Amino acid sequence: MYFLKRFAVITSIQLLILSFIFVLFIFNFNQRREINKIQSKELASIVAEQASNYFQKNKINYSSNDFFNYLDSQIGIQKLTTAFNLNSPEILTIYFRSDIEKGIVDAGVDSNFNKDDTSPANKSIKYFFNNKYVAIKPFFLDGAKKPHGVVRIETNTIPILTNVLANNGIFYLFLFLILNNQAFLFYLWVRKKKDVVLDQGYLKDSSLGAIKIMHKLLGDIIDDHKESKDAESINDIATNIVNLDDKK
Amino acid sequence: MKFFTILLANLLLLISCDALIPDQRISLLGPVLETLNRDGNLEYIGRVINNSEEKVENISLRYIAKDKEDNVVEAVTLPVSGLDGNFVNKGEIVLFQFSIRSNPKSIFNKEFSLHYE
Repeated sequence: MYFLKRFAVITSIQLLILSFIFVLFIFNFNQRREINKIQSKELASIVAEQASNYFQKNKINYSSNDFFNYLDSQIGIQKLTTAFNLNSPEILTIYFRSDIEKGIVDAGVDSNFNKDDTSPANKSIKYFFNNKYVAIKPFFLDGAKKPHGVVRIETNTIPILTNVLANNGIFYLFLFLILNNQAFLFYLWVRKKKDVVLDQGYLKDSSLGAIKIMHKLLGDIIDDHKESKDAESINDIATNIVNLDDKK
Repeated sequence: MKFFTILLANLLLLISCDALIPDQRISLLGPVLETLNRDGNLEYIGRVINNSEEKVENISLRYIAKDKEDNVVEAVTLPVSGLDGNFVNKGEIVLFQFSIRSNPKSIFNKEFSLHYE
């Protein structure tokens, strides 16, 4: 029972330390995810601006290959990659309004062609959190009231998670060791010292009980020896008496 | 003895943290552009770059499309070859383009991964 109690205390302290480190990890992860969201939104705005320019000139004669080269010439593929120093977007999508309205594709937008947060196209729940962030920006042609299409930028948040863990792993490890050290020092500080209080007795009840038993046993042994000595002296007296019956 | 066990455990933890950083010898250069082609199918265009100091052989690009329930709808494996053969030279950029046959409305998650020797 004593060891079980001790084990429970140690486990709860370890869990407390680990939960503190986990909270710190979640905080770091969310911080990076927020930066990633801002970057995605900015990139979606830049691409939407370029898409407006491109489709203004090539409303009928366009090709995805041509648009990709146009983006490269205007922004630069290298720039697209380095803008996301942590987690570059995997997929950049252009959907036209006509395709969305016909229902050919689910762009994850509402009736105003803005991002619909409730749309399943913008979510991917795995490991208890949404591991996909989607930035959507509609693009317009000159003079048009309705957008010509939307730009969608999808980023996976799992690489952010692993990156935070890989970069801060040593920090978390040292934090774990230091907190354990602090917990041990705290234990030493608050540990009760066993003072010898003579007024109240300095022996445990169990020890006192054992001594009482020993005292009784020793008393009995001494009494036994006393009795045996008395018996011997009686025998010595008895040897001077001649029993006539024996001589018969 | 206990000290060395703790030290070894910590070392293993550090090594495992380092393994989380992905191998970047071959990577996608910028995002992959996704559009709907004239047939109403999803079309992808992107670039692959060799960041390493040597040529890399047998590179393939794997694309997996999944539905709302995370079931695979379509998978495409595309060989990525440089100008000189079945390998990509140091610093070489290779353009790839492909389209899929599945209904765009049934695709919710898309995954790109690069495999090489």
